[in-house]
Parts: sequence; structure tokens; C-alpha cells
Amino acid sequence: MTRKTYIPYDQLVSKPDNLLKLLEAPINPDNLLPRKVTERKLGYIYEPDKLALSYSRRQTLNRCARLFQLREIKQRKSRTPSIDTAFGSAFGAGVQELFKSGSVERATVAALANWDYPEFEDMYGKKHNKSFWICVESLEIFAASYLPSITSEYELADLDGRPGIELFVYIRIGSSFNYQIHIDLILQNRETKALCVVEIKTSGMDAVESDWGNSSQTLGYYAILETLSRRMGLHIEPCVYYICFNPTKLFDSSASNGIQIFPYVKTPHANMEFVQELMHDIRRINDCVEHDFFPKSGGSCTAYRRPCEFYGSCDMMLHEEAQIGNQYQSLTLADADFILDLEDILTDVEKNVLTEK
Amino acid sequence: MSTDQNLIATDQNSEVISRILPKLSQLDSMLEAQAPGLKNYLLEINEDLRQYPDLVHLLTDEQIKPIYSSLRAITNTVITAKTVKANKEVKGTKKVSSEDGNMLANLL
Repeated sequence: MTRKTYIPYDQLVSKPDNLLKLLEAPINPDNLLPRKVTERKLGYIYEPDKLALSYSRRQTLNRCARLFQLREIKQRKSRTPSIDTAFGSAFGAGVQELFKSGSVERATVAALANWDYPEFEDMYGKKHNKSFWICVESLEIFAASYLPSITSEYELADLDGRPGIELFVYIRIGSSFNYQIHIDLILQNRETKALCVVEIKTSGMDAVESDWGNSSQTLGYYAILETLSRRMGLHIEPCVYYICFNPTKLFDSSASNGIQIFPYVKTPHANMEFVQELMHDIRRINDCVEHDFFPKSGGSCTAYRRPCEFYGSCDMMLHEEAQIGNQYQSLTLADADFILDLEDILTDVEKNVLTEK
Repeated sequence: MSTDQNLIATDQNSEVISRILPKLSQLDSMLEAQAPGLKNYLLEINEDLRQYPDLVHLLTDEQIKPIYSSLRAITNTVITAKTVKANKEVKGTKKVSSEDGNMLANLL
């Protein structure tokens, strides 16, 4: 007799094919009482008359214009829970809390509050190094072995009464676009009082310096922090720091328990580069809209050995209509910690040029 | 907004806290009794925290203790099991003898 295994409710939702298997699967009480669905809140402001850009959206545009059109313009988004993003969010929230309160207990609870996955381990039993338990242990190790040396030099910045955690900045760009950014951490040097941006990354592979050296995310962080610090009359360090964590090396003390810190030195030209790159992407979007042609990038149909969510259907007429309404609750302008105009950053570019001269 | 200014003692906050406190007390009892189902109960608390993330800062050190202790208890069990398994795998590997060295040398 073959042994039947029940299918967890969440797998049924994410994998409709499993619904067929349900006919054969024995009834599990959990399936009869599905857990309540949490109302999802978007991490950005959705305005029907404006196109919101961000680092990841620009990455999508540069990966495939057609994908950008479907996901961002026609709002045909689908979201399936991922243990990779859950692990990253939970670890990031834990580290942020460690800088805020220094309490590993509260950091662990903060991690739990940001764990957005139906189970504590990979439902498919593959990614053992990204379970919530590994996240808890990682925070403990980070707090004991790495936090003290960082906090001896830096403390959490206070920006006009706002702690430098998950700062949400909204940049107006004309009447049709905006750029939205969440900054993981802003620290302040205890001695010089200069501010610096810290980004927290997790990956199952070791990071290398070139992963983020020329990244537009790094440029954006620097440009925005410079504009904010000018407003507040504070200095900034000419550097953006990336704290990268590879959980597969957690128990390898010879590999710093998987913790790597990369300092990326930036010059005042970074502001100029950020604006130029942003304007280049906006021109590209406008061009695609004007010609009603968003070209497919065939070489990008596979990522992480998986086909794109629209592969095989991205030419179909069913995608031509924009998704009506928004399935998620959006943030509002009142949720933004700072609202800037792109002109503010351009003014800084001019000032930097004048200073150089 | 990420400021603490949201964390004022509103009626809604008081209601949320009063709803979760019995759950935390239940969690504490389950941990003490080493009752089964601790993980599922933590998933329920995970749902509550995701819905009301301000709870992370609204709850006192004493109130968050059962959550931390339960998470730690499971983490310790999982990590210990992982270490034991890893050690077994190391013990299970064949010891390399001088003969093996000769064999390798012969292969070269």
C-alpha cells in the first residue's frame, strides 16, 4: 500500500496543481481551518497617475522591458511566499533592532514579526540554511561577535527625531514619475558625527566586492543621504557599507560566521551619476510608451534556473488590460519619512561641482 | 513612518496588547510543560506580530520573554540535532591510512 502524505494548505495555494492531489490526500485538520490571511501592505506608495520607480523596478526594466511593462505598468504582479525573502527580511529586521535597542531578545521578536512565510522551515525541505531557527542563531552570533566592534564606533543615527531604521524616502520626479527608497540603516560616527548608510544583504553564496561596487542602489543611497544631511547640516562619510550574511557559513568561524562587511567609497560625482542613470531609465520608459513597444529580452527569461512568471504567456492578449485596482494596501505620502524633489539632488550636484572648482 | 511617535498608548494599542497577553501566558505554560504544538503556537504569534508590528516595541521585556525563550528552545534543539548529524557524518567517513596514501599516489 502506498503511503499518502497530506499537502499543507499553503502549498495548495502556491501550487494549484496540488489541488488535484488533494483528491487523493487524507484530510488534515489544518486544511479545514486555513490560517487567516494577513492583509498585505505594499512597501511603496501606489499612485494611479504616477509611475513609481525603485532600485528593484529599475533592475526589472534593465532585465526585460516587457517584464517591466507587465509588472509595473499593467500591475500584473503575483506574489508567492519565498523563504529567501522571509529570511532576508527577518534577519534585516533583527539587525536593525540590535542597533536600536541592543537587545537580542527584542531583535529575535522583531525578526519573528518580519518572518513572512507560512512555516518556519522551507516547505519543500530544500533550504535548510534559511530556516527561522538559523535566523535566530545568526542574530545571537552577530550580537555577540560583531555588533560590539561596530557600535564602539557607530551608533544609530537620529534624523530629525526619526531613528535611522528603514527610512522611507519619496522623490518627486516631474508629474509622472517618482522614486522610492527604503534605507536599511543610517548610522552616525560617535566621534565625527558623520552619517553613513548601511545595507543588509543575505545570500546563500559568499558576496564579492563587485556585487555592489557599481550598483545604482549604492549610488542612490549616497545621493539621497547627502541631500538629507545637507538639509540637516550634518556631514556624511564618503562611504556606503554593506553587511552581507551567508547563512551556510554560520558555524564556520574561520569564515567570520558568514558575515562580510564591504565599504564602498563614493565621491561627490555619485549624485550626478545617480541622476543621470535615473533620467536614462525614464527616457527609456517614455520611449517604450511612446512607441507602444516594450521589447522582450530573451536572454533574461530564466533567472535562478527558473523561467520568468510570464514566460510563454507574455505576448498573450490577456495581459493587455491593466489590472483593475490594487490587490494590496498601499503606503501613502504620510508614511514617507522624507519627501524630496529630484531638483534637491540636482542642486547638490551643482554645489558639488562649484566646490570642486 | 519608522518613528516611535506611533507608539503612543492608544485604545487600539491597548486592545491589541490585551489580546496577545493571554497568548503569551499560554506560550509560557506550554514551554514550561514542554507541551507539543509549541511551533504551531509560535506561528500564530508570528501572524499577530505581522499584523501588528508595533507590538515589538509596545510589549515590555518581561512580556516578550516567553516568545524569545520558546524560539530559543526550538533553535537549540534544531542546532543540536544539526551538529550531532554533522558529527556523525564526520565519524562515518573512512579513516585515511598510509595505504590509502599509496593508492592515491598510484593513481597519480
